[in-house]
Amino acid sequence: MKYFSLVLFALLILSSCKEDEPQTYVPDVNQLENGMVVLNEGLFQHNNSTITWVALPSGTKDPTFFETKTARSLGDTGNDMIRYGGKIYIVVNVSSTLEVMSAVDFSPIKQIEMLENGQPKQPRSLAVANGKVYVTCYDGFVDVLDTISLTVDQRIAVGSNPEGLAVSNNKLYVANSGGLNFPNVDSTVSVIDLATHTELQKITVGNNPGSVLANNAGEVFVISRGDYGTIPSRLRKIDASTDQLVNASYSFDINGMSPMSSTDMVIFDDGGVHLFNFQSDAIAATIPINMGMIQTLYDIEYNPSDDNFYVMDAMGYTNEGIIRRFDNAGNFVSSYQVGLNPTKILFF
Amino acid sequence: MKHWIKNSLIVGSLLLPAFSFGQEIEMDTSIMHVKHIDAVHIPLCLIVMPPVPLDGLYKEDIETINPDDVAGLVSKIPGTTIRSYGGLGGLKTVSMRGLGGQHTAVIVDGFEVTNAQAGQMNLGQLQAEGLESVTSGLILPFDALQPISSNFAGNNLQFRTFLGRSNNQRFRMKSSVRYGSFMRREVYSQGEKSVGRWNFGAFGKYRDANGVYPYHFLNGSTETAGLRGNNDYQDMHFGAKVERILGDKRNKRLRLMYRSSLIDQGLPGAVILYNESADERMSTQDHRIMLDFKQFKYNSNFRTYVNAGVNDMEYWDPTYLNALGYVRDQFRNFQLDGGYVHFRELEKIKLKWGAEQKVETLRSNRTAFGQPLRASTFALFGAQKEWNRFYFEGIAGGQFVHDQNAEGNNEHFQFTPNALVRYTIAKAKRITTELLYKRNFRLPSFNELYFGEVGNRNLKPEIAHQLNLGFDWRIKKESYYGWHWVLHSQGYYNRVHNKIVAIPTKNLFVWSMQNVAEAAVYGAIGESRVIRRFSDKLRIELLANYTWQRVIDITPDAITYGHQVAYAPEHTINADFMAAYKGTSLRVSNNFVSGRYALNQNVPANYLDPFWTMDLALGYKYTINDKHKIGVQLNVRNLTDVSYAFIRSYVMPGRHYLLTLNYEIL
Repeated sequence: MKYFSLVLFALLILSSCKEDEPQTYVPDVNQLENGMVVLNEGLFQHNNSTITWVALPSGTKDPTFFETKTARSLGDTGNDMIRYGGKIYIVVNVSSTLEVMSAVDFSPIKQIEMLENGQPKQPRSLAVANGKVYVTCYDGFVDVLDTISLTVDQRIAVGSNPEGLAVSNNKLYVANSGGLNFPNVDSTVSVIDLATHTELQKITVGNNPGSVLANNAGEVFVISRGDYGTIPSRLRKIDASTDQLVNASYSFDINGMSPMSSTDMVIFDDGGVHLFNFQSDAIAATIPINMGMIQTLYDIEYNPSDDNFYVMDAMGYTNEGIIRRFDNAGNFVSSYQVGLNPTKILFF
Repeated sequence: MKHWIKNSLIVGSLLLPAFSFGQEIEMDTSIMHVKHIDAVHIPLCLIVMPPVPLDGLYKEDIETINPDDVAGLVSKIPGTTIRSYGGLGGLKTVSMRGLGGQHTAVIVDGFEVTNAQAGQMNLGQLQAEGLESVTSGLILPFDALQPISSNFAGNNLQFRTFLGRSNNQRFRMKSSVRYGSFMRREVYSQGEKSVGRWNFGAFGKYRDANGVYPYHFLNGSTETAGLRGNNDYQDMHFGAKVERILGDKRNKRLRLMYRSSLIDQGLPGAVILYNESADERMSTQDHRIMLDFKQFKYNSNFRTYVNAGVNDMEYWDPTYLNALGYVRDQFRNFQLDGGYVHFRELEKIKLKWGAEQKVETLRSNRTAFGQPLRASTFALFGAQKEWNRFYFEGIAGGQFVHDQNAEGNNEHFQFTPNALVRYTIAKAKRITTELLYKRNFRLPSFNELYFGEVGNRNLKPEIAHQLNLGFDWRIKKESYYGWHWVLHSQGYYNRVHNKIVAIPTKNLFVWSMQNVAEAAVYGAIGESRVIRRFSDKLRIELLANYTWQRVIDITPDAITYGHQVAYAPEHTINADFMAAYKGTSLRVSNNFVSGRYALNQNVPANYLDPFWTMDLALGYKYTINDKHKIGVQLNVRNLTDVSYAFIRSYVMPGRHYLLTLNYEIL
């Protein structure tokens, strides 16, 4: 008993060493092929946004693929990722960075600090056209990044807290959410001429516009997310040739949309996943996915090479996400454990 | 803050010694009859060292630990988990025995300090100067005349300052000046004096620091360094007491106290990779006035009290990306409570009863709050009985709550019983064992009820059942010079229902408070304190405690069912070694916190590394004619310069220093 405290102290330090050490499986990925790069948002102020590489169809993975390639972390709240030419661009919102990676082997090319007068611009979403990457920034601008010099050439003023954006008819359509003025949100889409990089007009579409998607027929779809309460989230359509709101009467709920083909896009709400046909301007079919398998449907990507749907399940937003793969008939194929809040997939 | 106030404090600290008066021994009379003791010579070490205390920390410990705030003391209490966001004045909350911070009542000098908006106190804003003791427990001592409402919490933290004691017929004062790392400087003075049946006491403190500290951070596998900026801090604290002894037998006391604090601080926020911008600020003003009357008889004591406080807080973000370009949120919390508590000793049984009424309001420029008001009525009755080697205690309390805001009303009633049985196994060695059951609850805070989209006005109280099995053993108690060794252990089991948690309900950005979680807590505490006195001039002490604790998510169907909840370490160890020879003292403090998870899911991505920090204190005191004491102390914090964080992305400072100069009139 004489040395009780010391013995106790030593024993407990030893017992504490039994904690699980982080275990990662790191495949030797020198070429981005036969797999998918998954962007996981992480959680605000946790610095835990990650990239997962998942080899297909085996499902072997590198859960910290960005760290493997760069020896550093991606940062806080990765919001969007896009592939353009030989590069992959990733915006990290709270860290206020734009990461440029090789689309061949995911080696790092450049990290661009998205600051204006020392203040973070909070980049949000990405679109590409004419050798430029367009980045919506929450400070009310769209940044124009030259893909050769990898410098921001210009800032285009838009509405408040812009989010989604898409290119159609050599114009850029930017959703001005005004989310940081909630409940007095914005309700417009800015139209930017890509030749002059000037704003042509603002189109009123409805409260809290978020995602924007353009099809090959010159139609631009916008989701006005309402107030998450009494005002429901609804789809809107803009004619890119006239820049007029041509359909604001869709009656179905919608949480997200994703490109699929020249004739259809995938949309989803809490109740299910549907095919929206551009020609009929309506939901053409509901994919019979067993929604009971999915806890938190965060986003969907369609992979044309295998004709499968990859459903990003955020698992309550505070647990590691799962990508659930379904064939085009809605049959479950397989699932892949990824990081916190998977939000974007690039297939290779 | 106004310079004249700061200057007055500095000048006051220098002038106060000039008002020195005769010396007599003071004695606490807060719970006993007033007794007059003539001046006697008592060896210094006897005065400053309590017998072998285990239930908290006392004056000498507090002085050598010399913490930035009371959180630095509370963290040494076994069963305690501190959540510190770093920096002077930074948010520090406490979880005791796995229950949330809202289950802990904070009592300062016999008055409960509450904040209905947040539901828990920021311990980082409670100063440690002038503290005489810090104690904690699941229940309050049966004969303590503490506020009735504080009996309803799952745990309690009691802070007793020099204003909480009665000083008889002499003048005492203490001044200190501190300089430290991060451009920290501060001055503190306290004084107390009795004139006839009047007791007076007052204190004042000014402190500022630019707060910028370097840190190391593991970014992936790359060690990075940075400066944690926007961490400037400035605070002032004032307090005063007037007490009048009444009655022919000097057994009545009427006491009026006032405390205020003014704090202006930058908010450094989390360390965000690649983004060092931080410019948010917060200013806080807190004013409290307290009045109580106590009467002590040989078998009957009572106390009646009134406690009023107003707390103004302003949050300011000058670069927020909304239409205004900034956010300025203002909040005013108001609290008024009054009550009566009576302790009566009958021939065969002791009784305790009382009641309290409390009103709390919040006004804010955030109109969504709807001007909330909470009116609570508390009533309590208890009995205590000793029979042979048994000690029984039972208390039944009820609280009726009326909540309202612009949207409507909500009312509920909660019952808080507790029962304690203690058995003395061996009187000579004071070996005792005890079993305690307590049901308690915590109300949702105003923020949880009404804060915009996050708030949920249909929240129910969070209920906790506590079961505690304790064991005390005084292993050695030799003569004054010799070994003193006390061992204390406890095992506990808590079950939490309707646990209030924030979860995303609509999307990742819209979180809401819900009564959805269930948790089970089981743990064990071991505590040992050894003192060896070799002479009046030399002694050594070793204080060590260990907490093993599992705080398990048992929410049905949750993915994290069976996982340790976020930020709850399984192992916590404190080990302090102290040696004193004549006026020189050395203290080495160790704190070990095992690995934790930043989220409830126990996966490697959420894992936070364990850390072990060591602090060093080296002090020297010199007494002149038993009247004046001067002292100097150097505190080295985080001696080994480890990089650690209680909360993910909130990196704590590396090695830093604090030099303290003291002058005291005994």
